[in-house]
This record gives sequence, structure tokens and C-alpha cells, in this order.
Amino acid sequence: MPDSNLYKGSLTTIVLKLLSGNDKMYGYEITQKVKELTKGKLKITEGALYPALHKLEAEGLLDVEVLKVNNRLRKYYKLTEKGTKETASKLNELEEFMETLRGILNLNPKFG
Amino acid sequence: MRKVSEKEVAALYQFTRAHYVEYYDVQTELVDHLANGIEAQWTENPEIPFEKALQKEFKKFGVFGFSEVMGKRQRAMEKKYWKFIWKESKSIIREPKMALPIIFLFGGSYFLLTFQEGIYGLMALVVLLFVFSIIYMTKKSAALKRKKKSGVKIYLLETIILHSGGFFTFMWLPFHILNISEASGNFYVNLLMAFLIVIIALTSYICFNRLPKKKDEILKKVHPEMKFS
Repeated sequence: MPDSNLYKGSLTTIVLKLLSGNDKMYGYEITQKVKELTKGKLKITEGALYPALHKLEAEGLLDVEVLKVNNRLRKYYKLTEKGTKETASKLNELEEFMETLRGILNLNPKFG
Repeated sequence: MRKVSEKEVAALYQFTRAHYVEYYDVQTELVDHLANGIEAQWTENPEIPFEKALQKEFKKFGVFGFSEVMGKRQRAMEKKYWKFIWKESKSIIREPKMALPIIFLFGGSYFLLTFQEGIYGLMALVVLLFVFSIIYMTKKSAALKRKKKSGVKIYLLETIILHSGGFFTFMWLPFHILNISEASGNFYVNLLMAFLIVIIALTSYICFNRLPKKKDEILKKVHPEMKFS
């Protein structure tokens, strides 16, 4: 499995991107979706996911909705208008970062 | 597929409380997460005992258990609380009835600061405010403890509102600035001091009066889970 530290700075972007493709998601669902999309290569830990979600909520990027599912309450997160704009900006930032990284590591012959 | 029963949901709430998660909003999210994990284990093997499956899920939170989630949640909610203060401040300064007290306080503070002993008068007022805030918070803490003991659900933001977000520690800010600047009596320093005193007074009014009065309205907005209580 790759070093999870490499993904740490991108957790927020990953969460925002996932939410942009779904109407609403809950915490456990996000961890499972990431696991599924990366075929188990990336596992978002519970100790990192919830603080990230709560921070995004406090910043007004996410809105919450609570529904009763089975016999318990489930908290869903969804993007706010501000969150949708921030997702696009974060994805651009990440793309630029990856481009720079490719250049530094000489993975992209076009760079420089 | 085997599902977590109502009794087991209650046991999960008890489990989070036993691991120092006092607030219902945080408990609810953790309970659902643990329950989902347990049910996923049961999909593979429905014979796993509930307690064993729970311990396995809890381990995924790492050596510090729920404390990291709790600590970060506290910081996120404090941030939200300060946003409410900011929003309320903007609405207060637009209220025509507030214009006169603000001008009077600013002018009065500036006038006092022009006297050599004026600073002590202002400091005495802040000491009074500080004592008031300590008494206020002690009373609110006791009320929260009673509420918790009686089994009523407590929300993190509710605690922050009733503890005024720890604002009382900022009350001394103008005097710290004065200490650093060592320029008491300077026209611009006095203007800055008078301005900061108005900010402190305004924030105190919001923390100790306006937000506690709007507590239920704020909580309902932030915590949609309240409608199920």
C-alpha cells in the first residue's frame, strides 16, 4: 500500500470531489467509496475524516442533513454553493501541484 | 443481513459516553459510523458477537480513540461560534438604537484615557466585567451539569454558547496592547484603546446576552438531529 502521508494534504479535495459527484454522503459511505475507487490502495482513517468534515462544515463549505435510517440517526453532508466553488478551485490547485511534481521528478518530458 | 438493533444502538451511545464523548451531536455521528462498520462485519460473518465487532471498529480510530475527533470538532464549533458573533456584531451596528451607546462608550473611554489615572478607571470596569463573566459561567456550568445528570441531551455548540466561547480571556487585550506599546497618553494609542474597549463591550453584550437568548434558534439551525429528539 502506498505511503498514506502522500495523500494527507489532499484529503479535503478528495472529500469535496466525492461530494460534488453525489447529492449527499455520510461519513462511513465516504470511507467505503474511497476504498472502492482506489481498489483498497487508499484508506481514509476515521480519525482524519470526521475532523476534515467538521472543518469544512464550520467553514460553510458543507451543509448537513440528518435522517432516520433503520433505528438510528444518520448525518449526511452535502456541498453548499460556496463548497461547489471551492471544489473547482481545490481541483485546479491539485492539478497544478501534480504538474509541478511531474516536472520536478522528470515524469513529464514537456516540463521545462 | 443482520442489523444493529435498537438495544445495540443504545449500547453504542453508552460506549461513546464511556469514551468521553459528552455531546449528543458527536455521539450520534460516531454511533452511526460504528453501527455501519459492525454491520459490514456481519455481512462477512453474522456470527461475530456485537461486542467483539464493536472493539474492532473502535480500534480503527487509532490509539487516541475518539479524542482526536472530539478535539477537532470543538475547534470547528468554536470557529462557528465566532462566526455567529461576527454576524451579530454586523447586525448590532446597523441598529439605530445602538448608535448612541457606542458613541458614548467610545467618547467616554477616550475622555477617561486623557487623564493619567483614567486607565485605572477603565481597568476597574474590565475587572467588574471579568468577575461577572466568571460568576455567569459558573452558574451556566452548574445548570449544564444538572441537565446532563437528568439525562437531557447536550450539544457541543450549546456548551460553547453558555461558556461564551472562552471570550473572558480576551477581555484584557486592550491593556496588553497598552503594556506592549508603553505609550499611554499618546493620541493614537488612546484612540485604539477606546476602539478596543468598544469592541470588548460589544462582544461581551453578544456573548452574555444576545447569543444565549438566541441559543435554541441557533441550535436548531446547526443541529438538524434536534427535530428527532
